Amino acid sequence: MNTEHTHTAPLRGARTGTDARPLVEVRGVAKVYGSKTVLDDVAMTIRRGEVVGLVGPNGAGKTTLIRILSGMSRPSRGEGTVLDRDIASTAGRLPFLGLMVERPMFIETLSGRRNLELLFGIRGAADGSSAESVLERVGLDPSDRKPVRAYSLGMRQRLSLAQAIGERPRLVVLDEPTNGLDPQGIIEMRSLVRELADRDGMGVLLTSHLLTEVEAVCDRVVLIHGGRAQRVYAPGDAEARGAMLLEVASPEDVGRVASVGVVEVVGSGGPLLMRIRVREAVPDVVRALVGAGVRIEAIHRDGSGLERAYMETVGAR
Amino acid sequence: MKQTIALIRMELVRMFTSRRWLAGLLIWGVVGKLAADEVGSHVRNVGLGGWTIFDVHAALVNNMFFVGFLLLTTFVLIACDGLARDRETRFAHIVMVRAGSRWEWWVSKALPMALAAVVFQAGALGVTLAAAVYEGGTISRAPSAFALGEVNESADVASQLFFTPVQPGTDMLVREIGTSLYLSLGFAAIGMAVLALTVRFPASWLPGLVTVGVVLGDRILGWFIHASWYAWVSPSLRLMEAAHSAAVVHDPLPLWSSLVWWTVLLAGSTIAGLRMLRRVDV
Repeated sequence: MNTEHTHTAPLRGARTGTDARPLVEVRGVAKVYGSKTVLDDVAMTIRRGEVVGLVGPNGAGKTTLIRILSGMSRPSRGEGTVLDRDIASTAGRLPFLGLMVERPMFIETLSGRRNLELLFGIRGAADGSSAESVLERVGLDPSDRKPVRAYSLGMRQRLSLAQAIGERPRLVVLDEPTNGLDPQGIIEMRSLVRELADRDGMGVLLTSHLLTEVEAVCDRVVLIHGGRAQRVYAPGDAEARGAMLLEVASPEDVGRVASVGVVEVVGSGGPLLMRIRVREAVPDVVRALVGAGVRIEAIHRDGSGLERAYMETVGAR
Repeated sequence: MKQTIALIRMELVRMFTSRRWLAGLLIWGVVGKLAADEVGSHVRNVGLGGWTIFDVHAALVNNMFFVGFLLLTTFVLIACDGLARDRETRFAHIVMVRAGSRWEWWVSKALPMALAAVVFQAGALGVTLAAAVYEGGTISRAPSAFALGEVNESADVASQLFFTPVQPGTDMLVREIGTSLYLSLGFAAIGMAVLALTVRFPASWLPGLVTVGVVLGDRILGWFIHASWYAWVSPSLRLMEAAHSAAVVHDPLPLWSSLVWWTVLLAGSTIAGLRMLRRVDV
């Protein structure tokens, strides 16, 4: 299934105008090892200022897709460009993108800062002060001389993020960036990722198993399973915004809800708890429900839209 | 070009700050001490008087167990698994997106490895000489009677040649530096072949295992195949300086043939590694 959908949801921070050419635009991407197809007919577009999530179970093909996008692997089929470079070619320059890998390793005997200086020195696009400022930005102490081998997993993650964003690439790929982070680190990571897109105008591709984090930070989420991009979920679109949880006082109220025109009952969370989709503004819906005699105990947004979409996609119950 | 230099610089920093060199230091010390003991006791037994520290290095580099197994395996473990390790940990990815091309990344792996071969031999030479001093060897650049291949007819024990006898007036320091450079070429060529292998099979356990396997297989075949042609294809025999000496072996290999052999292996592996790297998924 080709899942490059056109959606009407507003993209947080998405840029338009002369710079609207996508950073990533690939179609029909497939990767086959022998008789095993690990990626099949995947399409993806990432624009400046856009955070795109890539979510799926282990072995779904996420890392393979990242390898193809970053030029480390050539697709068996498919076409398109990443930062204007043809993904099907291994000739020519590799695209420069910020890449944060899972379980990052560095030169273990050197400090984080020295590692960054050496990495940034390759392209000559950033210097020591860049290393210092980006370390501060990700919450690491630039004056820390401790070798990386003494870093905790959380510190490694922050250093890995620093090397990915320190040279201000146009495109950043973050593979499981919240691994090993404490709750505060996860919150900081979330706001930093949004900042990269909204303030710095970077395009961000993010993979994570923390669905609530992905939903909170991404403009769109590509759900991948069995090597195929099964669907695209947009947390900001009308469908996701309209999902609510409604708790009523009695079984009679359940029956009354179904008769209210501005509400569609789409599921049940218990005898008195319903998953509904609203067709009008929430205050108007509440007024209509009360007018129909429904005694409301609680009503709130259903924040588990991505979770539900994920479960539907992978076929789990 | 600046990019390639920066990449090589990073790889050199990485290579030479590795704590694995401590293993090298240990092995150099152990083989230096064992070689010094061997030379010292032999010279005493055959009644040739004194021995110099350079005799110890000359003997060491002609000992198949020391060179083929201990030194070569240690070198491979220090310097030749970086490519596989970087691919396993995906450090290769964050470097390669900056390298801009696979060619530059390969060069940044190949050149430091070759330089590491020279440093490794220099370290082996230095530590061996230090161990020889500690064991009582004479510090003299003039050849000893043992190095000249002299024989004491009245001794009870037959005198053995541990290495190619030298001419009077030979500067033993220069000779041993030359031998170290020759071994550097051999180690770099073997290291490059191993590095190229890890392009195709990226497993960090592979280099050490393959090296031990090849040297062991070579030695076992060498015991069974006594034909002179086998010396031409045996890599471990070519590492021995004495294999090129008519005074030590029946069918010596010409030195030029070994220089060509190692150079072809080095260049061939470099090209093969690059060609494979262009096609593989990193």
